[in-house]
Amino acid sequence: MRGPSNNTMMAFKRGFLRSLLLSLQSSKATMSLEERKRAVKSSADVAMATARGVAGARWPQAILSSSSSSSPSRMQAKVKRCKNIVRRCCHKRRRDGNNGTSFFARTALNRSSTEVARRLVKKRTKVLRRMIPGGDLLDEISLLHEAMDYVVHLHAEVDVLRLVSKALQRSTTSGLFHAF
Amino acid sequence: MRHHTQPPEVPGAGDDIRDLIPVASSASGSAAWSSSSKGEGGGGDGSGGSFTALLGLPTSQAMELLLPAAAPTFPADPHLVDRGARFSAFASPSPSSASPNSPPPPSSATATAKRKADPADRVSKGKAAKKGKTAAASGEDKDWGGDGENDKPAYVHVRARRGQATDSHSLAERARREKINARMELLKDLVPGCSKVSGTALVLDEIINHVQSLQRQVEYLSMRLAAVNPRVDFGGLDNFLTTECGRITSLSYKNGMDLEQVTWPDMGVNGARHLMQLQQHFWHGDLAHPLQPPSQWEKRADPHPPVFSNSSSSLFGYDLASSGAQPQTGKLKMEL
Repeated sequence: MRGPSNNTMMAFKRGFLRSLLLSLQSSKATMSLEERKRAVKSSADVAMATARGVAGARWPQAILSSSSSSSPSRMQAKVKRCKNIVRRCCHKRRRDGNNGTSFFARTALNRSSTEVARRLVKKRTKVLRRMIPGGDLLDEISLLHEAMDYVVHLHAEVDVLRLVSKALQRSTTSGLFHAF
Repeated sequence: MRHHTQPPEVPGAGDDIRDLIPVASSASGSAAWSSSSKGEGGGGDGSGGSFTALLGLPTSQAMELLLPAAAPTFPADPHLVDRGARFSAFASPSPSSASPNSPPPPSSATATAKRKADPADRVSKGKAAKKGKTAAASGEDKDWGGDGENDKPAYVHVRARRGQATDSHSLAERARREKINARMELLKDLVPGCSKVSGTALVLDEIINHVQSLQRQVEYLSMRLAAVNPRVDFGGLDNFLTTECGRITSLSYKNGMDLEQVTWPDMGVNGARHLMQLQQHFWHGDLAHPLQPPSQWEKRADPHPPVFSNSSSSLFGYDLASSGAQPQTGKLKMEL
């Protein structure tokens, strides 16, 4: 029904694969496994963000901005703290804007099923915000939109990564057999 | 109620195209709109039906539906004018990407495609038509709550259903709720196993689980790649991967789940499979790899995938640290 067509997804996969291979080629071989895994993962994220382009979604920009910050670590900590403060202010404002009811009304309504449902939904949107890059600053509607976009591209990313790892496994073992 | 100022581009575009659009094209556009609106109106309040009707419109046709010029000529259908103007507001910023276009306009159209018109709203619409401005410019209309994607707020002519409150707040809230519900429908289609679940909280739960599992899969796959990484010459791999992956990139994710369950038991019989594949590669000469040291084998000892946590890294580290040709060749013999 909705969603990027097959052609756009194939183009995305190809772009993602290309960027991924590039970054993998340029990665140093002298890191430990943990570092390598992190490098591969970050290169995969950046590759996904660049292949997606900045049009029509916010998460690529969020990924790129979080990965390409070249400031020293102290600056990064400050930036993160400022972002947390802004986030808290945004959430507080949102919450206070919605809590138009008085104290008594709130306690009376607290036990109704709709209130429970609403609280559950709010909890889950909070979790979703944390998972989607750049989701903290979005309102609920665009959050769902971003989630859709992100899920589609995650599917494609998992496909490509699976293919690459299978192909690599096959190639390396065949290389080994060749040696023997 | 928020009042947003008119974004500068839309009147400019509207003015130019107002002069250019002949009546014929606007007539055909309005005909298309009226048929789609009938489809929506007749389709109950199912937002799904209206989605498919409106998603069929390509962006170019949507651009053509700038009907501010048609306002004086089609006074009977002022909401068509609104929808046309709204499409212009959303089509212009991102004409290339169809996907962001499709969710906002259909949800706005579902907001507008109510069956019974409220007299107050009709009055306001009549006023808007009389003024002859573009619909987006009329200041007294409801704005679109929570329009975050395009940074270009447009105005929604919402017709209230019969017997429902016509309060401006509740109308805006209803529009917002309908948008959210429309998006939840789309998300339900994306996430497998979500169609039977009803209710926002459970669907959100499923979505969260799905995204988490996807992210963990990415982490696991990147771990595998990292394990293979330093020993493979990626230069030679380029051609191989692009040809092979080009063939298989059409593989959709839905098959991916089965693949996953299949590959894991396959690890036990990897040796036999690779023997066959070795012959293929050997004959095709796809890859020119340098001789790999026998310690290569240790990466095949990676533990089975269900270890989806950071502790898996320590497991890997342990396995890789215990390098040595002897135990690995022993494993090789077992697998063969």
